[in-house]
Amino acid sequence: MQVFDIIKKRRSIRLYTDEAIDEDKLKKLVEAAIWAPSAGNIQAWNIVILQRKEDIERVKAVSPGMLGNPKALMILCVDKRKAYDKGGEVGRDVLSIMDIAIATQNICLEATELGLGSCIIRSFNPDAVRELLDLPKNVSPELVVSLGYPHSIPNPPPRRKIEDTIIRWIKEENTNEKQDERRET
Amino acid sequence: MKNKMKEEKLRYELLKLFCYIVTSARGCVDEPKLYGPFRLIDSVERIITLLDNEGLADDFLKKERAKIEENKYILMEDEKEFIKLLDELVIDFTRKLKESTGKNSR
Repeated sequence: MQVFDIIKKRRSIRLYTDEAIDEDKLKKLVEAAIWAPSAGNIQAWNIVILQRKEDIERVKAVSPGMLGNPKALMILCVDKRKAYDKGGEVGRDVLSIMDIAIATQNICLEATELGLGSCIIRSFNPDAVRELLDLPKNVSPELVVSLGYPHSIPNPPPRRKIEDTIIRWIKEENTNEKQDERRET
Repeated sequence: MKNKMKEEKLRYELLKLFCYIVTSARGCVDEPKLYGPFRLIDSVERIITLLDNEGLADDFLKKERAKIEENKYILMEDEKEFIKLLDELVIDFTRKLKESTGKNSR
């Protein structure tokens, strides 16, 4: 599949079959994550993987946004200390979160290529997840990706049009401004 | 012994439900407005499942659970349709309440 096909094929999947996910596939997803761009190449990310049903259920209990029956969870965390030491306040509070978001998208796209469904979840309580997983205070859970083989694939929701999304496109010959001028006259 | 195990399991399932409700309450402080109604009907679905596991859910409750389960995700695509679902649920439950006496209502 071409990258663009995978981008368009990815959906947020919440209902999964009972099929377990091979460890090799999960490792591949982690590899996809660590090849994401990282501001200043700080790579302050850490990932927790859960496959045991009981642990998934417990994290689900404190994650209202987690619906359905995931077969595995990837919890993407920022090592705040590392992010601050190398990137200062902006590194800790902004850039590390952006890095996590990009790494998460890599995971979801690779999952799609591997035939897995995924769903990105932010509606969870970070303190509760940290408590459940005995994570150190400097490790902050930022996003959860639920994973499994899709039971069903929802229709794509409507997307904004390209022309509604681009609010300004300045070209070499300033075509846009000429068009604007024409409209005004 | 069997009853004790059953009670423990029920308590554990209720504990998970309480975790869900309190984390939802905290989440609703910052989350989009319509997530609140979504969490509430999702809670109803979970409570009916718990009742069903104990053999306490009647056909009406099972039907309403199925309705929630099948339609709740419409929130992600069409907010108006989601609100329509909420309106329908209100009427369904109200009609059920109207015809129930509270005595032998199972």
